[in-house]
Amino acid sequence: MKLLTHNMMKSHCKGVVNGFPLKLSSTQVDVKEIEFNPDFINRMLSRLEWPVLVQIANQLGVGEGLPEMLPEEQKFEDEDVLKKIHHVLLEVEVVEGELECPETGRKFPISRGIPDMRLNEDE
Amino acid sequence: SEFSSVYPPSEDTFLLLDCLEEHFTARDNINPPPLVSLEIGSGSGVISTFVRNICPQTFCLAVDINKQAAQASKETALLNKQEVDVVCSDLGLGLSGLFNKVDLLIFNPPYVPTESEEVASSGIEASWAGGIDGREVIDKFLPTAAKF
Repeated sequence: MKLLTHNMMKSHCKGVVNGFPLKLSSTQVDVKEIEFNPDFINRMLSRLEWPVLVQIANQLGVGEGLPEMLPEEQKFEDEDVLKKIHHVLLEVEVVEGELECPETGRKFPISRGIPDMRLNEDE
Repeated sequence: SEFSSVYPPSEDTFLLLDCLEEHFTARDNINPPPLVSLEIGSGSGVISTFVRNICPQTFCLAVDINKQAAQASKETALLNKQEVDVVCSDLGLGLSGLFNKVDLLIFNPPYVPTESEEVASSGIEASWAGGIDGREVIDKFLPTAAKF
């Protein structure tokens, strides 16, 4: 599960009002090199919940150098900054771990890189 | 085998691949590449893997309700050296953060007319069982499709 994916995930437990962000605990995190594309990162910025990305990145110890906030134009010229964002969004993968609904505490396992978001019928 | 419950690439898969290839590689295609691609029911994973191959700047996410299929999708992407993130999910539940953010939404749905009861499965039946008139899964998903 890439951190970009985590940024798009919300709990759908019955009765949940917000469900975002899902809490993350991880036992195995991999890092792999992905081709950098500055345009992709800049185009993606406006679709992100930025504070949550920063929070999760810091939690995993990969958030160094990430700007606290996005500039108003939601774009960066500085390639070093873009590369740091690229790294956090796409190069960090949670392989084994768990997501947790912030309201119900319901756990969703992450195994072999794949989060399992399926609920039982009564949930 | 580890993937015995996964729908193998079949005629309908290839038809969809042809459409996608035509759409994205047409000489007069002036559209910017999609930023985000979401595939529902990715099965073997060939479609999202292919999309990532022809649109290397697209973030590709694949979901499947069948855990074996989710795993197969991840494997297929890996074997083809393509980046595709995968979530095990029922029709994209859990990914509402992607509402209004999906540029390319792909679904080769189960469409075979079956009994309604056959629809609620997470095994291989999920790949074909379409319920009444073969429409139940399609009709259930369409409102969510609009939201994505």
